[in-house]
Amino acid sequence: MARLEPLEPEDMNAEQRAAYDDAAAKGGRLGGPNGIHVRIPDLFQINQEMSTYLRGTDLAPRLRQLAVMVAVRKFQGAYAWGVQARASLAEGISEEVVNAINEGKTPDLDDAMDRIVYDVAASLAEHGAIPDDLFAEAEAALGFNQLLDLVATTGYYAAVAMWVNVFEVDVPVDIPVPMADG
Amino acid sequence: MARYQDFSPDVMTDHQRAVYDDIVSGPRGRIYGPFLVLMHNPGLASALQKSGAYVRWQSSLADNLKELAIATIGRYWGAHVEWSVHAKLAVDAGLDPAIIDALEAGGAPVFTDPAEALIHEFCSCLLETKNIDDDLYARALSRFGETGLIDLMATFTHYTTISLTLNSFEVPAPDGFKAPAFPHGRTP
Repeated sequence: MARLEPLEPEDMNAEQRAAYDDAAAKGGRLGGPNGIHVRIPDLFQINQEMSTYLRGTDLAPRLRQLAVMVAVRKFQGAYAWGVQARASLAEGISEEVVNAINEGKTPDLDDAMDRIVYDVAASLAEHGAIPDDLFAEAEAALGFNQLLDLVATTGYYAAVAMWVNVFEVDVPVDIPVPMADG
Repeated sequence: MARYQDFSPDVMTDHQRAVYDDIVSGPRGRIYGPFLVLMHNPGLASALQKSGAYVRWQSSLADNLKELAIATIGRYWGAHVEWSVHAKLAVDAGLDPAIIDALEAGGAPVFTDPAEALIHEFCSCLLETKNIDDDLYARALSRFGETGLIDLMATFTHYTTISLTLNSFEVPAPDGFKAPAFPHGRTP
Protein backbone atom coordinates (compact mmCIF):
# COMPACT_ATOMS: atom_id res chain seq x y z
CA MET A 1 0.00 0.00 0.00
CA ALA A 2 1.20 3.47 -0.86
CA ARG A 3 2.39 5.72 1.97
CA LEU A 4 0.24 8.48 0.53
CA GLU A 5 -2.67 7.30 -1.59
CA PRO A 6 -3.41 9.09 -4.86
CA LEU A 7 -6.47 11.29 -4.47
CA GLU A 8 -9.45 10.01 -6.46
CA PRO A 9 -11.79 12.55 -8.14
CA GLU A 10 -14.67 11.74 -5.76
CA ASP A 11 -12.46 12.55 -2.76
CA MET A 12 -11.32 15.96 -4.06
CA ASN A 13 -12.50 19.31 -2.77
CA ALA A 14 -13.86 21.83 -5.27
CA GLU A 15 -10.50 23.47 -5.97
CA GLN A 16 -8.70 20.14 -6.43
CA ARG A 17 -11.51 18.87 -8.62
CA ALA A 18 -11.45 21.97 -10.84
CA ALA A 19 -7.70 21.59 -11.37
CA TYR A 20 -8.10 17.91 -12.13
CA ASP A 21 -11.03 18.38 -14.52
CA ASP A 22 -9.08 21.04 -16.39
CA ALA A 23 -6.07 18.71 -16.77
CA ALA A 24 -8.22 15.68 -17.61
CA ALA A 25 -9.86 17.60 -20.45
CA LYS A 26 -6.35 17.99 -21.92
CA GLY A 27 -5.46 14.32 -21.48
CA GLY A 28 -3.94 14.59 -17.98
CA ARG A 29 -4.14 11.60 -15.67
CA LEU A 30 -3.74 10.86 -11.96
CA GLY A 31 -1.04 8.18 -12.25
CA GLY A 32 2.25 8.35 -10.37
CA PRO A 33 2.98 11.59 -8.57
CA ASN A 34 0.01 13.38 -10.18
CA GLY A 35 -2.44 11.83 -7.72
CA ILE A 36 -0.32 13.32 -4.91
CA HIS A 37 0.32 16.69 -6.58
CA VAL A 38 -3.41 17.25 -6.92
CA ARG A 39 -3.70 17.63 -3.14
CA ILE A 40 -2.15 21.06 -3.80
CA PRO A 41 -3.91 22.37 -6.95
CA ASP A 42 -1.24 24.98 -7.79
CA LEU A 43 1.49 22.37 -7.61
CA PHE A 44 -0.59 19.99 -9.73
CA GLN A 45 -1.10 22.61 -12.44
CA ILE A 46 2.60 23.49 -12.50
CA ASN A 47 3.60 19.84 -12.89
CA GLN A 48 0.97 19.33 -15.58
CA GLU A 49 2.48 22.24 -17.51
CA MET A 50 5.96 20.79 -17.12
CA SER A 51 5.08 17.22 -18.09
CA THR A 52 2.94 18.42 -21.01
CA TYR A 53 5.85 20.54 -22.20
CA LEU A 54 8.32 17.66 -21.94
CA ARG A 55 6.01 15.30 -23.86
CA GLY A 56 5.65 17.85 -26.66
CA THR A 57 9.23 18.93 -27.35
CA ASP A 58 11.00 18.35 -30.67
CA LEU A 59 12.99 15.54 -29.06
CA ALA A 60 11.86 12.31 -30.76
CA PRO A 61 9.71 10.16 -28.42
CA ARG A 62 12.20 7.29 -28.66
CA LEU A 63 15.03 9.56 -27.51
CA ARG A 64 12.92 11.05 -24.74
CA GLN A 65 12.03 7.59 -23.48
CA LEU A 66 15.67 6.54 -23.37
CA ALA A 67 16.47 9.49 -21.12
CA VAL A 68 13.37 8.95 -18.99
CA MET A 69 14.22 5.28 -18.45
CA VAL A 70 17.79 6.08 -17.43
CA ALA A 71 16.60 8.72 -14.95
CA VAL A 72 13.81 6.76 -13.29
CA ARG A 73 15.92 3.60 -13.08
CA LYS A 74 18.87 5.39 -11.51
CA PHE A 75 16.56 6.94 -8.90
CA GLN A 76 14.75 3.67 -8.35
CA GLY A 77 11.18 4.77 -8.90
CA ALA A 78 9.45 1.39 -9.30
CA TYR A 79 6.14 2.87 -10.47
CA ALA A 80 7.85 5.23 -12.90
CA TRP A 81 10.13 2.50 -14.19
CA GLY A 82 7.20 0.17 -14.84
CA VAL A 83 5.07 2.63 -16.78
CA GLN A 84 8.01 4.20 -18.63
CA ALA A 85 9.46 0.84 -19.66
CA ARG A 86 6.03 -0.01 -21.07
CA ALA A 87 5.85 3.33 -22.91
CA SER A 88 9.38 2.77 -24.25
CA LEU A 89 8.48 -0.63 -25.67
CA ALA A 90 5.45 1.01 -27.30
CA GLU A 91 7.82 3.54 -28.95
CA GLY A 92 9.74 0.67 -30.51
CA ILE A 93 12.69 0.48 -28.11
CA SER A 94 13.76 -3.15 -28.00
CA GLU A 95 13.31 -5.46 -25.01
CA GLU A 96 17.08 -5.97 -24.96
CA VAL A 97 17.67 -2.25 -24.48
CA VAL A 98 14.93 -1.93 -21.83
CA ASN A 99 16.27 -4.96 -19.95
CA ALA A 100 19.86 -3.71 -20.06
CA ILE A 101 18.87 -0.34 -18.57
CA ASN A 102 16.78 -2.17 -15.96
CA GLU A 103 19.79 -4.23 -14.97
CA GLY A 104 22.06 -1.18 -14.78
CA LYS A 105 24.08 -2.24 -17.83
CA THR A 106 25.02 -0.08 -20.81
CA PRO A 107 22.63 -1.07 -23.61
CA ASP A 108 23.91 -2.04 -27.03
CA LEU A 109 22.67 0.83 -29.20
CA ASP A 110 23.27 0.68 -32.96
CA ASP A 111 21.87 4.11 -33.70
CA ALA A 112 24.39 6.91 -33.04
CA MET A 113 21.70 9.34 -31.86
CA ASP A 114 20.31 6.77 -29.40
CA ARG A 115 23.78 6.22 -28.01
CA ILE A 116 24.48 9.93 -27.57
CA VAL A 117 21.16 10.48 -25.78
CA TYR A 118 21.75 7.48 -23.53
CA ASP A 119 25.28 8.69 -22.71
CA VAL A 120 24.07 12.21 -21.84
CA ALA A 121 21.28 10.92 -19.58
CA ALA A 122 23.54 8.36 -17.91
CA SER A 123 26.30 10.92 -17.35
CA LEU A 124 23.82 13.36 -15.82
CA ALA A 125 22.14 10.76 -13.61
CA GLU A 126 25.48 9.45 -12.37
CA HIS A 127 27.77 12.49 -12.31
CA GLY A 128 25.39 15.42 -12.62
CA ALA A 129 27.47 16.79 -15.49
CA ILE A 130 28.41 16.22 -19.14
CA PRO A 131 32.09 15.91 -20.17
CA ASP A 132 33.33 18.33 -22.86
CA ASP A 133 33.60 15.81 -25.69
CA LEU A 134 30.15 14.36 -25.04
CA PHE A 135 28.64 17.85 -24.78
CA ALA A 136 30.15 18.80 -28.14
CA GLU A 137 28.94 15.57 -29.73
CA ALA A 138 25.43 15.96 -28.28
CA GLU A 139 25.09 19.60 -29.29
CA ALA A 140 26.21 18.77 -32.84
CA ALA A 141 23.75 15.87 -33.07
CA LEU A 142 20.71 17.36 -31.34
CA GLY A 143 21.19 21.10 -31.56
CA PHE A 144 21.14 23.38 -28.54
CA ASN A 145 17.37 23.48 -28.00
CA GLN A 146 16.82 19.72 -28.03
CA LEU A 147 19.86 19.20 -25.84
CA LEU A 148 18.35 21.60 -23.30
CA ASP A 149 15.07 19.65 -23.41
CA LEU A 150 16.98 16.39 -22.98
CA VAL A 151 18.71 17.75 -19.87
CA ALA A 152 15.43 19.00 -18.39
CA THR A 153 13.74 15.68 -19.16
CA THR A 154 16.48 13.76 -17.34
CA GLY A 155 16.28 16.02 -14.29
CA TYR A 156 12.50 16.13 -14.08
CA TYR A 157 12.09 12.36 -14.37
CA ALA A 158 14.85 11.71 -11.83
CA ALA A 159 12.63 13.69 -9.45
CA VAL A 160 9.49 11.82 -10.58
CA ALA A 161 11.27 8.65 -9.49
CA MET A 162 12.07 10.21 -6.12
CA TRP A 163 8.39 11.11 -5.61
CA VAL A 164 6.97 7.68 -6.34
CA ASN A 165 9.75 6.14 -4.28
CA VAL A 166 9.24 8.35 -1.19
CA PHE A 167 5.46 7.91 -1.23
CA GLU A 168 5.70 4.27 -2.35
CA VAL A 169 3.17 4.74 -5.14
CA ASP A 170 1.70 1.33 -5.97
CA VAL A 171 3.18 -0.29 -9.06
CA PRO A 172 0.50 -1.38 -11.57
CA VAL A 173 0.20 -5.18 -11.69
CA ASP A 174 0.04 -5.38 -15.49
CA ILE A 175 3.36 -3.77 -16.40
CA PRO A 176 5.58 -5.86 -18.69
CA VAL A 177 9.00 -5.17 -17.10
CA PRO A 178 9.01 -4.67 -13.32
CA MET A 179 12.04 -2.86 -11.87
CA ALA A 180 14.92 -5.21 -11.13
CA ASP A 181 16.36 -5.43 -7.61
CA GLY A 182 19.29 -3.23 -6.68
CA MET B 1 34.46 27.99 -24.24
CA ALA B 2 31.01 28.88 -22.97
CA ARG B 3 28.43 26.19 -23.59
CA TYR B 4 25.60 28.68 -24.21
CA GLN B 5 24.91 32.23 -25.19
CA ASP B 6 23.23 34.39 -22.55
CA PHE B 7 19.62 34.97 -23.46
CA SER B 8 19.22 38.58 -24.56
CA PRO B 9 15.90 40.46 -24.49
CA ASP B 10 17.03 42.53 -27.50
CA VAL B 11 15.71 39.97 -29.97
CA MET B 12 12.76 37.89 -28.81
CA THR B 13 10.02 35.76 -30.31
CA ASP B 14 6.46 36.48 -29.14
CA HIS B 15 6.60 33.43 -26.87
CA GLN B 16 9.89 34.55 -25.33
CA ARG B 17 8.52 38.04 -24.81
CA ALA B 18 5.46 36.70 -22.97
CA VAL B 19 7.58 34.56 -20.64
CA TYR B 20 10.13 37.35 -20.23
CA ASP B 21 7.43 39.83 -19.23
CA ASP B 22 6.01 37.28 -16.80
CA ILE B 23 9.39 36.76 -15.10
CA VAL B 24 10.58 40.36 -14.90
CA SER B 25 7.21 41.57 -13.59
CA GLY B 26 7.28 38.91 -10.83
CA PRO B 27 9.35 38.58 -7.67
CA ARG B 28 12.49 37.57 -9.61
CA GLY B 29 12.46 40.92 -11.38
CA ARG B 30 15.14 39.95 -13.90
CA ILE B 31 16.56 37.10 -15.97
CA TYR B 32 19.60 35.55 -14.30
CA GLY B 33 21.26 32.21 -13.53
CA PRO B 34 19.52 29.23 -15.16
CA PHE B 35 17.04 31.46 -16.99
CA LEU B 36 19.86 32.81 -19.18
CA VAL B 37 19.86 29.28 -20.64
CA LEU B 38 16.22 28.28 -20.18
CA MET B 39 14.84 31.31 -22.03
CA HIS B 40 16.13 29.75 -25.26
CA ASN B 41 13.22 27.29 -24.81
CA PRO B 42 10.49 29.61 -23.50
CA GLY B 43 7.97 26.84 -22.79
CA LEU B 44 10.51 25.22 -20.50
CA ALA B 45 11.41 28.55 -18.89
CA SER B 46 7.72 29.21 -18.24
CA ALA B 47 7.11 25.87 -16.49
CA LEU B 48 10.29 26.13 -14.42
CA GLN B 49 9.75 29.71 -13.41
CA LYS B 50 6.37 28.64 -12.01
CA SER B 51 7.72 25.61 -10.18
CA GLY B 52 10.51 27.75 -8.74
CA ALA B 53 8.05 30.41 -7.65
CA TYR B 54 5.97 27.74 -5.90
CA VAL B 55 8.96 26.35 -4.01
CA ARG B 56 10.40 29.74 -3.11
CA TRP B 57 7.29 31.71 -2.27
CA GLN B 58 4.35 29.32 -1.68
CA SER B 59 5.98 26.39 0.10
CA SER B 60 4.76 25.60 3.62
CA LEU B 61 8.33 24.91 4.77
CA ALA B 62 10.02 27.52 6.98
CA ASP B 63 12.69 29.51 5.13
CA ASN B 64 15.63 27.99 7.00
CA LEU B 65 14.39 24.45 6.21
CA LYS B 66 13.58 25.21 2.59
CA GLU B 67 16.94 26.86 1.97
CA LEU B 68 18.78 24.04 3.72
CA ALA B 69 17.00 21.54 1.46
CA ILE B 70 17.91 23.56 -1.64
CA ALA B 71 21.53 23.89 -0.51
CA THR B 72 21.74 20.15 0.18
CA ILE B 73 20.30 19.31 -3.24
CA GLY B 74 22.54 21.89 -4.93
CA ARG B 75 25.61 20.55 -3.14
CA TYR B 76 24.82 16.94 -4.06
CA TRP B 77 24.67 17.89 -7.73
CA GLY B 78 27.48 20.46 -7.52
CA ALA B 79 25.35 23.21 -9.10
CA HIS B 80 27.08 26.58 -8.87
CA VAL B 81 24.28 29.14 -9.18
CA GLU B 82 22.03 27.13 -6.91
CA TRP B 83 24.71 26.75 -4.28
CA SER B 84 25.94 30.33 -4.34
CA VAL B 85 22.51 31.95 -4.25
CA HIS B 86 20.88 29.60 -1.75
CA ALA B 87 23.83 29.29 0.62
CA LYS B 88 23.45 33.03 1.13
CA LEU B 89 19.65 32.82 1.44
CA ALA B 90 20.05 29.98 3.96
CA VAL B 91 22.29 32.07 6.19
CA ASP B 92 19.95 35.05 5.78
CA ALA B 93 17.15 32.73 6.96
CA GLY B 94 19.06 31.95 10.14
CA LEU B 95 21.03 28.82 9.24
CA ASP B 96 24.38 28.65 11.05
CA PRO B 97 27.10 29.57 8.49
CA ALA B 98 29.19 26.67 9.87
CA ILE B 99 26.57 24.30 8.40
CA ILE B 100 26.98 25.87 4.97
CA ASP B 101 30.79 25.75 5.27
CA ALA B 102 30.67 22.05 6.18
CA LEU B 103 28.36 21.28 3.23
CA GLU B 104 30.57 23.22 0.83
CA ALA B 105 33.66 21.32 2.01
CA GLY B 106 31.81 18.03 1.54
CA GLY B 107 31.85 17.30 5.27
CA ALA B 108 29.10 16.38 7.75
CA PRO B 109 27.39 19.46 9.18
CA VAL B 110 26.50 19.59 12.88
CA PHE B 111 22.97 20.69 13.71
CA THR B 112 21.46 22.01 16.91
CA ASP B 113 17.94 22.43 15.46
CA PRO B 114 16.23 19.01 15.17
CA ALA B 115 14.06 20.12 12.23
CA GLU B 116 17.13 21.22 10.28
CA ALA B 117 18.87 17.94 11.15
CA LEU B 118 15.87 15.99 9.88
CA ILE B 119 15.64 17.95 6.60
CA HIS B 120 19.30 17.32 5.93
CA GLU B 121 19.05 13.63 6.85
CA PHE B 122 16.03 13.16 4.59
CA CYS B 123 17.52 14.98 1.59
CA SER B 124 20.94 13.31 1.87
CA CYS B 125 19.44 9.87 2.35
CA LEU B 126 17.14 10.20 -0.66
CA LEU B 127 19.93 11.50 -2.91
CA GLU B 128 22.64 9.11 -1.76
CA THR B 129 20.70 5.87 -1.18
CA LYS B 130 17.62 6.70 -3.35
CA ASN B 131 15.37 5.34 -0.59
CA ILE B 132 13.65 6.55 2.58
CA ASP B 133 13.02 3.79 5.11
CA ASP B 134 9.82 3.55 7.20
CA ASP B 135 11.40 5.08 10.29
CA LEU B 136 12.73 8.16 8.49
CA TYR B 137 9.48 8.58 6.56
CA ALA B 138 7.46 8.42 9.80
CA ARG B 139 9.71 10.96 11.52
CA ALA B 140 9.55 13.35 8.56
CA LEU B 141 5.77 12.99 8.24
CA SER B 142 5.31 13.59 11.95
CA ARG B 143 7.42 16.76 11.96
CA PHE B 144 6.56 18.37 8.61
CA GLY B 145 3.08 16.94 7.92
CA GLU B 146 1.72 15.74 4.61
CA THR B 147 1.85 19.18 3.00
CA GLY B 148 5.36 19.79 4.31
CA LEU B 149 6.58 16.51 2.80
CA ILE B 150 4.89 17.26 -0.52
CA ASP B 151 6.49 20.72 -0.53
CA LEU B 152 9.86 19.16 0.27
CA MET B 153 9.46 16.84 -2.72
CA ALA B 154 8.45 19.82 -4.91
CA THR B 155 11.82 21.27 -3.90
CA PHE B 156 13.53 18.14 -5.28
CA THR B 157 11.63 18.38 -8.56
CA HIS B 158 12.52 21.98 -9.21
CA TYR B 159 16.09 21.99 -8.02
CA THR B 160 17.10 18.65 -9.53
CA THR B 161 15.93 19.89 -12.93
CA ILE B 162 17.65 23.25 -12.39
CA SER B 163 20.87 21.66 -11.09
CA LEU B 164 21.28 19.46 -14.15
CA THR B 165 20.60 22.43 -16.42
CA LEU B 166 23.16 24.61 -14.63
CA ASN B 167 25.78 21.86 -14.78
CA SER B 168 25.14 20.81 -18.36
CA PHE B 169 25.68 24.35 -19.59
CA GLU B 170 28.23 25.27 -16.90
CA VAL B 171 26.38 28.37 -15.74
CA PRO B 172 28.58 30.39 -13.34
CA ALA B 173 27.49 31.93 -10.04
CA PRO B 174 25.86 35.31 -10.73
CA ASP B 175 27.76 38.57 -10.19
CA GLY B 176 27.86 39.47 -6.52
CA PHE B 177 27.78 35.87 -5.30
CA LYS B 178 30.80 33.88 -4.19
CA ALA B 179 31.67 31.04 -6.59
CA PRO B 180 31.74 27.67 -4.82
CA ALA B 181 34.92 25.77 -4.05
CA PHE B 182 33.78 22.68 -5.99
CA PRO B 183 33.59 21.95 -9.74
CA HIS B 184 30.37 21.71 -11.79
CA GLY B 185 28.79 18.31 -11.16
CA ARG B 186 29.02 15.71 -8.44
CA THR B 187 32.19 15.45 -6.44
CA PRO B 188 33.36 11.82 -6.46
